[in-house]
Amino acid sequence: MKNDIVVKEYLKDKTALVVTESSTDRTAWKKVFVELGVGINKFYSATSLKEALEILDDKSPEILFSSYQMNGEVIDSLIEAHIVKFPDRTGHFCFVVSEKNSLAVTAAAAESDIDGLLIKPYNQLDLTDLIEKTLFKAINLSKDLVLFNSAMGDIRSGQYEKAQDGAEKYILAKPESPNGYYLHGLIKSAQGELDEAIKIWNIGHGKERKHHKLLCSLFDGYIENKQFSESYRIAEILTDEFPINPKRIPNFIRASLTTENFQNLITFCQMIVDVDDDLTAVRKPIAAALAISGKHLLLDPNQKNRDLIILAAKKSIELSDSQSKIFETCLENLIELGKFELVKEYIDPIATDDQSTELLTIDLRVSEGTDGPESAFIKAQNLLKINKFSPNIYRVLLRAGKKIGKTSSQLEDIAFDGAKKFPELKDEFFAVIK
Amino acid sequence: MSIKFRQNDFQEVHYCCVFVNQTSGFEFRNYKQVKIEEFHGKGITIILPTNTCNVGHNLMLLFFKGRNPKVPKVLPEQGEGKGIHYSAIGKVKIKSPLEKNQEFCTAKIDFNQFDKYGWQELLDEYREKQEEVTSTFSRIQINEK
Repeated sequence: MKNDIVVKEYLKDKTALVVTESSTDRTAWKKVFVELGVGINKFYSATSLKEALEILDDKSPEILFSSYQMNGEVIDSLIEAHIVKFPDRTGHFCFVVSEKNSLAVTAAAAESDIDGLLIKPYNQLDLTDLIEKTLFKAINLSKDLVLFNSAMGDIRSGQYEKAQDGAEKYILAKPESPNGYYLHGLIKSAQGELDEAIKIWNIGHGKERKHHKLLCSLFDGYIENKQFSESYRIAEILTDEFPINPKRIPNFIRASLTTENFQNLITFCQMIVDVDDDLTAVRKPIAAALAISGKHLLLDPNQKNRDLIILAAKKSIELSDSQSKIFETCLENLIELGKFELVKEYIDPIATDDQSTELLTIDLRVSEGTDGPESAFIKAQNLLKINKFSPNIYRVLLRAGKKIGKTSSQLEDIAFDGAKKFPELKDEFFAVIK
Repeated sequence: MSIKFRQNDFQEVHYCCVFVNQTSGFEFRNYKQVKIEEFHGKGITIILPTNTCNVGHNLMLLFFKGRNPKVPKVLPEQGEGKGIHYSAIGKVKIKSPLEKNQEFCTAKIDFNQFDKYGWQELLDEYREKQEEVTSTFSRIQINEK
């Protein structure tokens, strides 16, 4: 039978949910699915995530076809809801259409267990053809892959004994395939036996070294287990073979740091500051990784990477939310490099009333760097008066107090007060006044 | 070996579009307010500010590669110049306001003066990107050998 007839026959009883803010897309996608065989009265459409989740809950459409980004955010929660609704993916499909078409976005989307990623803008003929091909492949899964999907569904719905049975059957049917070991490891991991899961995944890894899901599971498992050398080794293979899923970048940086592969941090920062493409779909993990990398590169006493740290901080700030921990870390990195005016530019637009204690402290450090110790001392005292406390406020008070000639007993009072609030820093505070 | 951070993983195929409304003489250079929605064999559907064109108007569309192109201060009458990757002239056939923001509309434009080979090349670039995306996607999915 021809592909189109198979797909048409299969889709005739299915319902579809189309989720997009664009009326052009909605019209085009409906037209494509009607051509492919979905009945004209079997469509639901939503223009927001909230509406889509309600329809999904109420009408249980087998096919979800959605924009991948809505209001600037990836629709992870909708994909997750569809997967939870239909844990066994055989016979249920999720396609997304993305305006961002990088391989990094592809890697992130593919890991969320959807069936297809289409890029926009498209032309309708290509779109129809691609959806038909993807559906045909998904409809005609081998019986082993149906067994695999069924076991995955059991894992997702917490039926581990049933899943275990499925995994064993799969391994028996396909002993040379790593897929069964991937399943088996997932079950152990879900049951809290991560060491055992890693052992099993490694058996699968021995059968095929370039199995994406096994590599990801092993990497994530090793990171969780704090086995950083092993995680680093797996990251090398993973990134050599596949595009990077940006969500994993902070852990790649972490693995590089703990194994002292510092060059990776430089390579990462150099690469990302030069990217001119839109990173909004992957912004949070990248911003975090840049902030962590910058903080570490600052430890080099020769400050060989000074310019790179500044660029990395700027890029990270561009991608992060103001008032976030990432934003604050980047500002602190810039302060360490004496870029007080630049930090001021970032802080000034934020109203003082809206500033967190951390930001007020950063503002205080800028003041220390630009207005001198006397002004910083007064500012720090004022912060304490309005019940804002942080280790850096006491550090500034002690440093500035010493410079402007406060007496030993005045400095001791400050150190004593600071040690009461932050007992773990008692030695550091008293060391300043010696 | 080291962890590979490739710029290629983050690169996209992307075109920005500006236009000259040849019927009204109005130039629109703000590419951030023009969005390509859909390609057709001999035309395009774009989103643009509602007050910039009407059905029946002729638009000269200029395409720039990348997300942050340098658009010249005066758009060239011939549609050629530094940074302009492709240009085409077409008639606005359908115009409909967006449901959620009536200040913008979708416009379906049928080209009547265009280099069909150049247009095909642009479409092919997106098609090849889709193929790359699809093949990467397949490599990541669970497969059987």
